[in-house]
Amino acid sequence: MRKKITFDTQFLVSTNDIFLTIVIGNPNPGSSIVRLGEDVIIEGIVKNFKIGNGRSLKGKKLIILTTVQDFLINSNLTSVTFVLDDGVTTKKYFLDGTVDVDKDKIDYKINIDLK
Amino acid sequence: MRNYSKHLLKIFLVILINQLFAFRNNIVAQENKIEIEDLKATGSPAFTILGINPTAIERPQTPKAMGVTLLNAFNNINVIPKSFAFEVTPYWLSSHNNLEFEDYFNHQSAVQNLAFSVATSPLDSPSVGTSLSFGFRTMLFAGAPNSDLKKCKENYIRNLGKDNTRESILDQINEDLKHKALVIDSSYDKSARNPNDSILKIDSVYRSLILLEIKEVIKYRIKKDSANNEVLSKLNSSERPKFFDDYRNFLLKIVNETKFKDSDTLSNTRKDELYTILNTATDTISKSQDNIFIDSLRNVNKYRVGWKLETSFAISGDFKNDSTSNGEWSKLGLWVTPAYTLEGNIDLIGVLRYFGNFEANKITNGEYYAGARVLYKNGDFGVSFETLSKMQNKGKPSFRYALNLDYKLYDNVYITGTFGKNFDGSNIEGNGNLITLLGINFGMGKNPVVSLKK
Repeated sequence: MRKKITFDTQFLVSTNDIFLTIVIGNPNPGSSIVRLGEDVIIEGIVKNFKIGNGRSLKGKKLIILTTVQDFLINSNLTSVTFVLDDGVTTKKYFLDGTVDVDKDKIDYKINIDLK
Repeated sequence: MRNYSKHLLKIFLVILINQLFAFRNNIVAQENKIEIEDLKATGSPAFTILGINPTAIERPQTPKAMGVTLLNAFNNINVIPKSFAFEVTPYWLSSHNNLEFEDYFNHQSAVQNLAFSVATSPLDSPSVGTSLSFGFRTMLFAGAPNSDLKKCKENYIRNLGKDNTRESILDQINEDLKHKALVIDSSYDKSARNPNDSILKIDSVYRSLILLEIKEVIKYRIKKDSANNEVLSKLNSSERPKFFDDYRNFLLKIVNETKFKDSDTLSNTRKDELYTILNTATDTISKSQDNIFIDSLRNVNKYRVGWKLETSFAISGDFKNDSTSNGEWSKLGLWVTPAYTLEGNIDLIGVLRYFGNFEANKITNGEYYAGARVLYKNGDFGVSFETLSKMQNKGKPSFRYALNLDYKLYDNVYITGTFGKNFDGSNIEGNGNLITLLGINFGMGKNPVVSLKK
């Protein structure tokens, strides 16, 4: 079974809109599914995506699952940076991992409580 | 019948050309041979300047691995290793967390392609000792992906999206089951259990409950996600329903076929076991589908079009009797290879090369080469025409023209032919300059070797 890296955290919302960007580095291909609670709000490449207004999001949970595949022949490093920005606070959550076998995949899951 | 005759003809040609190849092999066993490929573009320049093609090359992926490799090879500073081949691309030794796939796929920088190489090989007989060379190469311009590669990438990304969706569904199922287990455990323990039932019967009932719950969760999760237009939005209207239906049926089949291990104790972890089985089975789907695309995508440098410019440099020294105190510079090479590749497998390649020999640590015989090549490949057949001029410090410039033909017989087996005019005074018998070489190559369709005078 392939590796899964999970991280739980929280983000303090304001009254502004919250934007999400997902940067998959090293430079491996990847795809993401973003859920607000149980509902999918976006999938694929996520760049400066407006999740919603802080007031309406307060108390909800953001669940992001990003699948990354090792692409480079000369490196087994993978990494994902999840960026939440509402104009008041910018939070970057950086996760990285190394695949054991060339061309393997890693799943990165981040659970963010919006408080 | 037609296929049989064609097959017989191929076998006959192989035998005939094998005989010619044996003859050709005698011709090319000469000093100062240099391959046309060496003039067109370099592989690792440290290997090229020594004229070697190593079968084992150290390519460390981390700084620590690089240190270990070099330390092991040059453990004793007074002794040069006999056969050592090493190449490293320093850029990729460290992580680049902000470099995204799309950026790298479309554009590669000179720093990303910069590679350093080191090699050793025994000195030519009758000298005793070892040659050591250093080199570097990079692509100053690396072109852009061709249209086939772009389509391959789109298909691959779509496939990766499907894999991500499967993982996300499984993740939701797992979260659901964590809550469901409590309900199963508490309700079962309180109401369904008969104290007179054997342990095995209790376990069997418990298994059935779990399987039923898992199937319900699977159907619920897939129905919910398939109704959401954000999921796999890039798939067309006929692909989406089929994807979700196929995946649901796949998971349900796994559940129906799952046999739990016999146990004489109740277990609260059966759902974890089944989740692991589902995850492992899902992983096999993704592996079977991705590798169709990723191997092609990894050849991203091979299928680039547009302008390319590669530059390489190498220098070598000879160490007689393998002693560092006897070291002297021996050769120097500089290659500049501009190229333009058109869609449709047409390459226009130029070459500028300088090659110098040292005597008493000074360059004496310097040779300049300038040339161009047009190459066209279509399936198993390739044709190219090249022209090369050689200029030395003394003497008139000399020219070479050659038409090369390649035909792929089988995988890695090529018939090659070269016809043209060689540099003046360079033919083996010492007379004339006509090139007529026909041979068979067990490799990547490399062109025949041509001898050059020092």
